[in-house]
Amino acid sequence: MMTVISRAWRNLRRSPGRTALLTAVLSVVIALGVVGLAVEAGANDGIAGVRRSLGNEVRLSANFGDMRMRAADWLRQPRGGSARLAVASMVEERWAEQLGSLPYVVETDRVLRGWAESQDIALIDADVGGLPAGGLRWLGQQQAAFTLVGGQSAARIAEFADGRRGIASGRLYSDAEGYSAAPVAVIDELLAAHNGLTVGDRFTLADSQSGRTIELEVVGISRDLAPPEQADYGRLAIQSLLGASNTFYVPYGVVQELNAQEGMLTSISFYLDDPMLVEDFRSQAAAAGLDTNEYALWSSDTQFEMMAGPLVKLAGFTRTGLVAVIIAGALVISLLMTLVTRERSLEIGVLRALGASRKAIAVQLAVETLTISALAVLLGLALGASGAQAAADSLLAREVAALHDQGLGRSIVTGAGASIFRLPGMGEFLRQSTPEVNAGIGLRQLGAIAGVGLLLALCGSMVAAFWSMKMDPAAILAARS
Amino acid sequence: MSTGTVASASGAPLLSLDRVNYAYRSGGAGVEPVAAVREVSAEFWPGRVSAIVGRSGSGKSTLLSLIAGLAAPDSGEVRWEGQPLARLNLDHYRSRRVGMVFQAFNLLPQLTAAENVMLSLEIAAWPSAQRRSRALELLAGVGITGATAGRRPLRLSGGEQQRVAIARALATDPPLVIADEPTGNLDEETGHEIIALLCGLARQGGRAVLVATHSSALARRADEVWLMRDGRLLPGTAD
Repeated sequence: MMTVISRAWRNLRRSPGRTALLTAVLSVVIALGVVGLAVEAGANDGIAGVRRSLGNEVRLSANFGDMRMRAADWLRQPRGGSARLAVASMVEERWAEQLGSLPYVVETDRVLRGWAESQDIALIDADVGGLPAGGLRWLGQQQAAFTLVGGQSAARIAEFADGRRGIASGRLYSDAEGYSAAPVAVIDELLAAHNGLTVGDRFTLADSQSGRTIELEVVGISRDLAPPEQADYGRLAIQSLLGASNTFYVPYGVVQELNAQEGMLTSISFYLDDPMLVEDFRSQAAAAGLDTNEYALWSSDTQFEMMAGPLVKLAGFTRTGLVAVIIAGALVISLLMTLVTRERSLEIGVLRALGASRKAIAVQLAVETLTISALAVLLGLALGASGAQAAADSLLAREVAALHDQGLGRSIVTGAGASIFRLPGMGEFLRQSTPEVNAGIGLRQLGAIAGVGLLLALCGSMVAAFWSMKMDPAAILAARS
Repeated sequence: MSTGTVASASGAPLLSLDRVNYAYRSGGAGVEPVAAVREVSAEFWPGRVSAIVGRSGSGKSTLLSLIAGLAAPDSGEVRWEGQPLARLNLDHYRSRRVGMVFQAFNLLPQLTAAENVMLSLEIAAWPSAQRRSRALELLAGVGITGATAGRRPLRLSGGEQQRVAIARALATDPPLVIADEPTGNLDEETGHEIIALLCGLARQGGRAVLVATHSSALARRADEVWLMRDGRLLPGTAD
């Protein structure tokens, strides 16, 4: 065996042109593979980074997009139209239990929506577009009411969590208050001004249906941070139902107590122990029968799409490219080895005439191909690694530009892989940027490249062995006479 | 010089052919095979030079391929010391029992003269430490010495290349040397030198030397002459 190996190496040294040609072709294939793997890995890291930066929360709530469309229909109908609108925004408790039992769900958090009236304070505005202001309550007839948003953790209530609402003075109620149903509330600054309330003041809410009352202390005054166009959009759609200024943010237990357990469960937040499990969570929810037309699973999806969209496309593009490169590489090496082996027919005929077995010749050709492949892997790694980052930047810029062309947003490209998006109606709120791709080569990529090199080497070796075994030494030598 | 089958007083011949037939089937289905060797029977003995003469295409090279084990007869048997070749390990047979010399020399161009000889030794699994000295010794025996042994074939004359090829054929000290038109690409003078070399191999080395040739000079110096005509092997003469 050692003789065969040393013969193979001697042949490679003594045929520098052939060795260089094969090595160069394979190096290019490997380099393209390295670029593809590095860019794909960088894009995937970027996607994971975006996912992690957007948190580990998956929120189950009514499908508000769908709800808005139904609301618009409802507004166009004569009064007394469908009552399904309110029902649509309810989330069944069973989902909290069913999806909350998944092994990687570390915590669940519910938001309960309720209603209340008050003798102490007044609603803002009369009505908008014929609708009563404030919360829309369906008690056989529409009735103006304050909306109560009861969360177990105030900081996790969507408006506060995603920055649409912030604290102007005072504070959010604490988690301890939230979980213990402390009689505290965070109110909107417009409502506070309208009623002359400040932090520390108290007021009483009542539920005319349950007959219960509760006195709450103002611990914080909040401010709507959503851009005006978004607020306008909401107002035009169904502002009163969505709350806005006539909404109190109170502990979950307060809504339960006041509405005698009849509050509307509007969202359940599930906190996963790894943000990368979001997609799995979605699959599990779908498998459990969650109707995605009726309900939405939200995990910062818009931000994710805008930040990671180009990366997802880039990863897909490079994956496809990688497969194409491997297939093309296998075809090229097969063709080259066919030509090279046929060109070496005299050598193979002579070796057979001198007593070399077919197997020994096949092994010799395989060793030559493997050696060339190993050289090509090293060269290709060096070539690919040096060009991967530039390729990543260029490809990512292309994907970002393509995303803009699709009209997803008005955007300003601020550099390779980075962009600022402005969505109509979303303004500053959704200002995000796509992270740059760090097209590095790690152990996984090294392993994959070694695998690709081996695959190509095996492919070339098998082709060479096939042709060498098919050769008839007698015919080869006779043809030379 | 004698003609026809040479009888030996001692034991079996080194190589014998018994009603050997071989046809080429290079065409597709429905194309008749072309018979290249027909009913050939012969015996070859150590220490003798046997010349096979005949026109181009008469089947000489095919017969040598059958004897070298590079092709298998369609019917009949080639026997080595009484044993059918089909029962032998043919790779082993070619590497240790038969040395081959070709008209076109067939040296590997990427190897030096010495390395071409060493190639035979590599394949026959000679100890690596002995290969170079053995190759140089053999090359010296055929008149290739000094720097010439380190040259690649393209830098050697035709005569030198054929000498290297003969040294390569002798590398493993085979009992049988087969030469296919060994002087075909050489000038007359060089051809005579090669003929002398081959005859010396048989007579001094005790080998059987089997030569397919057009050269009447070579045939005249052979111990026996066979005529190949239309695939049949007949007793012949040098002329």
